[in-house]
Amino acid sequence: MISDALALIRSDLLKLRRRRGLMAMATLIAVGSVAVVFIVTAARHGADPQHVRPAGGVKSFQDATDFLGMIAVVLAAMIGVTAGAGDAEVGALRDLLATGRSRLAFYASRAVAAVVTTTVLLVAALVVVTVCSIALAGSSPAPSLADIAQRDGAVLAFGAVGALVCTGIATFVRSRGPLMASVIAFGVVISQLLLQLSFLGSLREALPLATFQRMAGDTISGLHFQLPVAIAVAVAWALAALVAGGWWARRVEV
Amino acid sequence: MSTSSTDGAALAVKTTGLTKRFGQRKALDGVDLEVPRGVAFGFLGPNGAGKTTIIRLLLALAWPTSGSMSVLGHAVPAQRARALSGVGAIVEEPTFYGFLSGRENLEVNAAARRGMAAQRIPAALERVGLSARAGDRVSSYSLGMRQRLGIARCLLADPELLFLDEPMNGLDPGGMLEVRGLIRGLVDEGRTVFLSSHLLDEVQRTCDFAAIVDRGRVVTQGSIDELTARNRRISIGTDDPGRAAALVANLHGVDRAAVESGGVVVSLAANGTADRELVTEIVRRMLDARLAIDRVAPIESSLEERFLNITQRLEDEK
Repeated sequence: MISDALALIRSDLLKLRRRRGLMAMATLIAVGSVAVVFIVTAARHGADPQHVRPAGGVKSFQDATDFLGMIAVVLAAMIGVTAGAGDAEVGALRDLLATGRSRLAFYASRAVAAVVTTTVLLVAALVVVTVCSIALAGSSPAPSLADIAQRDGAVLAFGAVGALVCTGIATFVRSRGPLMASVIAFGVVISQLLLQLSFLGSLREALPLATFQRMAGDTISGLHFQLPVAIAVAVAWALAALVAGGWWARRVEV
Repeated sequence: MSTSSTDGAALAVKTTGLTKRFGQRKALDGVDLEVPRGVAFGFLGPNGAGKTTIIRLLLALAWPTSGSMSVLGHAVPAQRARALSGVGAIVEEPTFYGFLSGRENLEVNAAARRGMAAQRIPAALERVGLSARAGDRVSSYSLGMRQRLGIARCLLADPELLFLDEPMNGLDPGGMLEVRGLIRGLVDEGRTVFLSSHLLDEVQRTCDFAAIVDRGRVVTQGSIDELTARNRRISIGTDDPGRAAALVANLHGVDRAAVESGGVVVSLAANGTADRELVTEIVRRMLDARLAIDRVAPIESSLEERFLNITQRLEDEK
């Protein structure tokens, strides 16, 4: 039973890994972007140490993990949507379902593969961020172990929730592009704007971006919600999308 | 919908009153189908007749509006997992992940199946002649290679029953010959092949049994011999074909008599008098009328003629 499930997950991981263009782009976005930021800042600090602060240190670490929160949305959209809609898009979903295996087993496997792949990419990026923040701290204080645990954990949780939500929603579509664009637009741009609208009050607590910032320990103007609430909201997003996607995966005619 | 698991246990496929609607349109209209085990069964029909729809229902890819069906003796969709564990299928066209190799595509499908499927991959590739190209990306495969890889994918289940939907599509004559050989080989091993096609000649060459479907209904089904025998015709050469046609047209057992290429062509009714007696009666009547006869010959009938005959008749009735 478990070995059957693992075989299915391995095959979904293979399908993601072998999409070389997607994986190259995702790696570049995750690891390349933060590496470039540190390299440029380190170079600028080396050239003008009086006016440019060190590339590392706790402040740089906070900025970099905030940035990775955005990157997590992009990765979750790319990986989660591909995992969720990839089989249908290439027309292979029919051939898989015709084996008689449970539709929910396929769906669950895709969700797990999306989370694993997104997490691996984010871990790689976080290693770069954390190592650079400590190694290039110079005269600035380096991030503490507690900082690292909290902010890295928040990024990983945000990425995992994003991947689950995207896999769930992607079950409803057959074409990845428009959904990826919509998720990225919502996660990166629209959520930021909504978070600034103070008249929305505590409704903003339902935004995934707000839950990420709360989990990361950032202050959000006008919002003072507790960590368990933030975690509950994130879990609710993931569950809602997963249940809706699972319901559709069982019903859909292919 | 009834879901008996014993009905049709002796049959590879059995459907009763199977109906499928897409909105107001009836794609299948009360289909009763019986596919014996261990044969190549042709499922013939023009495009849009409902061939792929019935395969999708049998594979639990879509749900019937009403009626019941069983695959290898198991009710579908209620016992889908058991029914389909012994089934391999190509629906419409073999689709693959172009960015994976042929072998990796089979690995993905094997992962979806339990048991020994993964261990059958080398033998399946060998059987369809793709071992040498198994490591290449499928995006570089020709259509014929994809069709063969599709059959290899079916073989991973060690199937008792294969659904092949238009497997000859896009193949050159050599490819068709190859696939035909593969299908006959599978049947010789005791497997059942359900071959959906609009290529009548291919079905006649490859299959033992066939059903003709048109506008969502199974119009006729039986062995190829029975189906073609229902279209029995004889050609009679005579000095006055017009008179001869008028003489025999109203004989019991004669469907139709027409003047064609200097003679008369007589269509014998499907369930009429035995051929020998009827032909003797036709000839006797012509001789009594002092008509000269220079030949009496059966006309070889094809499934194509039978098919066109049926679908044309339905068109006329519309």
